[in-house]
Amino acid sequence: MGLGLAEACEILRLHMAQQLSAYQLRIEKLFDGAGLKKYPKN
Amino acid sequence: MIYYAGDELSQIYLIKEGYVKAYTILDSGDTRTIFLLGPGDIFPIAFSVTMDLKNYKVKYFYQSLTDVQLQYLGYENFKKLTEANTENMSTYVAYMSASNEAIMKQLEIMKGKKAINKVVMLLPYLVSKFGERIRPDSYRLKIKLSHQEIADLSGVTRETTTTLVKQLERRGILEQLKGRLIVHTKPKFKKKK
Repeated sequence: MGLGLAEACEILRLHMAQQLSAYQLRIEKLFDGAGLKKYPKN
Repeated sequence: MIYYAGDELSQIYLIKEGYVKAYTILDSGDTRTIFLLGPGDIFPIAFSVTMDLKNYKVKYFYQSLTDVQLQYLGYENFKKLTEANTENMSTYVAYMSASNEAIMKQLEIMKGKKAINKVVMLLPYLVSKFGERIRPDSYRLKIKLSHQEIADLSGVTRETTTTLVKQLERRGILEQLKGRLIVHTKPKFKKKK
């Protein structure tokens, strides 16, 4: 597999976090003023 | 249930808190998980190529896995907003790119040769998407996943998944606590049984 499990987890975790932070604020801005709904666990 | 497959599109949701499962129902009546969504994800239109949202039919069932908090926009409003300026469109494209990358990751996992590799390769994905670090090398998943769901996401049969999960538990890589998986990325011990 090349990478060990620990390295693979850490690399992907950081990558996903970076990716999320790169667009999350922009997405939230797009939904600024949108309605809010709550659903209980199905 | 948030959306049923075949529903007309009424609203576009952004997940603020919690987790949602998208699944399909096979001819046999069995369900198959297609993907899992969490905070920052938008649904159900991530796969609309034409942006013809008026005629868009929801492809999957969307069900809350935990309590969820969603922001919503009517589809017409969403379309207007994304097409209003290049900044908004580039935001949507950025999200689509991230979404595409996640799908490619999932495909990569499913293309693995050995079943054990598929399940082991799924773990970093699960950790990155749903894991909370509880110790330096241990992550607890925030959602409960059944063996069928792990099987669906890794492309392995449910029966094989059950065997492999037990094997990974014996190797100290996986632990199940109250139905939630803990991934130990540097297992220090091997259980005898």
